[in-house]
Amino acid sequence: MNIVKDYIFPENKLGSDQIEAIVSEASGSSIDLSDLYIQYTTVESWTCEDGIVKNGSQQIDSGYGIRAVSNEKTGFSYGNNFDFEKIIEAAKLSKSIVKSNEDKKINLKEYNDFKKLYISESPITSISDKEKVDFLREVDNYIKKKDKRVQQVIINLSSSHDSIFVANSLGKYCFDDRPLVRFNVMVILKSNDRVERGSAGGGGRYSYSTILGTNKPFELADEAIRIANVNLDSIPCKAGNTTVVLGSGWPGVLLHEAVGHGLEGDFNRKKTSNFSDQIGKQVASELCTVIDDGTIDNRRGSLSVDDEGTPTAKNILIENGILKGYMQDLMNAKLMNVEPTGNGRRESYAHLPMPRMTNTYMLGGSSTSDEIIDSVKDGIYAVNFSGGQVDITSGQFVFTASEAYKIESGKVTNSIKGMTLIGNGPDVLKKVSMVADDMKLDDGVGTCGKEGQSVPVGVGQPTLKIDDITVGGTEV
Amino acid sequence: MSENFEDISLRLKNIIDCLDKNKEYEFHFNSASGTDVTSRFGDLENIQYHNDESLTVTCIDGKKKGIASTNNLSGESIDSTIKKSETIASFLEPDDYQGLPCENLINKLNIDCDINFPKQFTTDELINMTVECEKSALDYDNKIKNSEGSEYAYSQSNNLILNSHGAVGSYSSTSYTLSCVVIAEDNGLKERDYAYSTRRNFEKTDSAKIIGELSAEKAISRLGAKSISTQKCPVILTPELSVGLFSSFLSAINGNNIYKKNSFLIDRLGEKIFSNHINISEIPIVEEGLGTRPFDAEGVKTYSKQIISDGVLDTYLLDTYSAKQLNLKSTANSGYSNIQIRSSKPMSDNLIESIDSGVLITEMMGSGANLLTGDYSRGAFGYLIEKGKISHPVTNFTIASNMLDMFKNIDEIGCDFYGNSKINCGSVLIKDMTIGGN
Repeated sequence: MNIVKDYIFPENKLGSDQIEAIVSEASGSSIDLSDLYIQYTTVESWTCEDGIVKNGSQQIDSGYGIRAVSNEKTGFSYGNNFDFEKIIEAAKLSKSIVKSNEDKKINLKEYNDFKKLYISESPITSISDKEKVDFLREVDNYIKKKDKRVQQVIINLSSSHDSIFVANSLGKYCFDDRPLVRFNVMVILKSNDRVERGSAGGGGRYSYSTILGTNKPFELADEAIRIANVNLDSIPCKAGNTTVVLGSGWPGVLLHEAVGHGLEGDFNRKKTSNFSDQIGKQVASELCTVIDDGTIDNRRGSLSVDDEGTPTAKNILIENGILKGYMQDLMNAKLMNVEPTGNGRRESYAHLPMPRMTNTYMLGGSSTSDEIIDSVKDGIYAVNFSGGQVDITSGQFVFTASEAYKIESGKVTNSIKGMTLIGNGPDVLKKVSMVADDMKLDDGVGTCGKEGQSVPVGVGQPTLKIDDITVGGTEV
Repeated sequence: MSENFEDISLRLKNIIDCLDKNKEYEFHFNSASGTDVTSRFGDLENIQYHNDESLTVTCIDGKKKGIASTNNLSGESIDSTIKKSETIASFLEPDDYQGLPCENLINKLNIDCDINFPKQFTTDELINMTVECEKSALDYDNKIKNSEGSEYAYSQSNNLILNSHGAVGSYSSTSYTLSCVVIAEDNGLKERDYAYSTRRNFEKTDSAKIIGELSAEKAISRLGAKSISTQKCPVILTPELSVGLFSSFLSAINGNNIYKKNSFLIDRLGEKIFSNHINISEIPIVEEGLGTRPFDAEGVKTYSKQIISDGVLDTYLLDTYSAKQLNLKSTANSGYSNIQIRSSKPMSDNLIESIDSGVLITEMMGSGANLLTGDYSRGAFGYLIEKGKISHPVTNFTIASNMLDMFKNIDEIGCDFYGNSKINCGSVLIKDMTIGGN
């Protein structure tokens, strides 16, 4: 069920007349776009630490946001009191960006002709709280039996259910229900004098049953132990320029930061991106084809419709190195005179929509990962990253590896610690010299931040080789 | 909001007084309202009106802790939130260290600590202010070719805590931020930089003109950045970046990271962490202080304390739970307030002069500070220093070390104190770090 439709609307006596009146109030002859977004979100989180399932929490947040856009101006207000008169006042505030305006009556029609990419039921109520607690205990026991060097284990199981409603001055409204499950394991291993951490996680838009009761949580636990173990033997990293091979899957976060953000419509409309005015130009090595696809079933970054009610799509951003298009929301698409791409996203009703990524990945190539490693005489193989950041204007990006190795004469050797990659997005993409055939999406752990708003995203890529990139480390 | 903060406080107080005496309860209520205005190229771009409130209920039932929160303050919703916290607690497993604080509790509503300075502006005044700020950047130099605009952000927030052991406390505060982000362009290269000022009292924020000009000056100075070779050398961190380094230190001595053994500073109480000349203290009540608070997030009365004395670690930052885990007492540090970093050496306003060859770091990127091992490796932007003077901007390099070494290697602290953070410190000079360039 959609809680907005089945609970908030009747509870607050909001019918189609009231909704039309609200959207109309925020509209008018000088307003290009207005929308009303209503959301009811429940989030829960359970944590096992020190062998005790000691933390449990549930959070309910509901409210509305109303926006009016006139050319490049936006007025926005939000609240959590669903009283009709209050929402009308908020609509008037949002519309106050324009000085003169003639009334416009908006007639709304439901739009539901989009593919549902996930179930609508809430994961939270799909199993009992006791089952969640028992599950965490089971994983905790498994890890402690598996490795005696374990010093600390923190396991978290969380999920959310988001019921949304969006109606806009284009005359349509729609509902969407979005489940999201996340499981995470962190272990700290101690051996002699060293301590190192390893973590692994996964999730997606599905119910708990998709991971609980399968082998996946135990595989992720093994993975966390493996990473910590690898890091226990790591040696300091030598600073300087070198060849770097990126592993498949999660290292796609580099693509997300180095290229993805620079291809968001707002930055390109304002020409503050390094990729501004580059459509049709060679921006990457011809081995690179980059896609943003919000339509993959059950993925963390997927949405049936974006937060403006536009169905998501599979958008080609870069094809064989040529820049094809940007990611757009309604406002930026209109201002740039292109079609919206289904990338209008917002953290919540209390935030404005803007162009954001969904699942961003690079297509596989024709090499194999073995061939790529074999081809490197002296370099680094980076398999996992803990985080990164980009300056979209200069294109400068930074990444920190959580698992990386030296490559010596075509062989992966010692693991290295404290490795940071730094480079310039477009420069680095031009230096991609080999791409393997092993494209993989990440396990469903990504959260992207932009202008203070966080949204879940997916990343992916095949194994690939970058010639000559700057690596930071403590050794000279 | 239909009901004012004082009325809600009293209503919640009555509710908590009537709950089951065999369980412990904590209510945390926050409300905030405000306005954000952004102007770009001389015209309003964005206006946002904020209005948030939320209630978090913690229930501890036989050493089991459940938390539930809502933003619907109707009687019915509060009841179901309390029930949910009880239900969650009932499914958890007992943890001997759970429990709400019962000592040194706050017992006063509407505490005035000189951090609440509400001021009303009309929308036109705000638009004019942001337009003026951006204009002073655009007019500064013709290399300023693009802008992300100037933003004014105002927030007035109210904070209430109640617990069933008698904690009752509330206070209100305001925050004003004026910022400007511009892009300098030259020879096809673009560089972006910003300047901002955050204060409790609007009258104390830097003027629109100063902020605009500073953002332009910073963006222009980045143009023409060169690469730098891999080397070990002294680095100076700007006050803003020093704040980041000291906040990593404060995370590393947070009791929750200590008992979880997730810190490179475990078992270090009483040991020398910094060089002799460094002193770090926490001062909870500072007039107009960005960190000022009369009680911590659990309702324990805050007090002034020394954290580092002559380089030695005096205390961890403990909340009730981590204190019990470590068999210590809460230091009223569920969070921290105003932190002061000082050197007993003379504090100069120009650390660059003393450097023969080194780098001034003005920006760091990426999350390369590892709390567990202390390993530090981040991307950076800065300026090469030669013979006591800035030579040219440098980019595309990393700086790396271990935080333990960095702390011991802080040779000097400047008196160019940073006013936009609750951590108050100046530039720091670290005598030896690894630069990873080409």
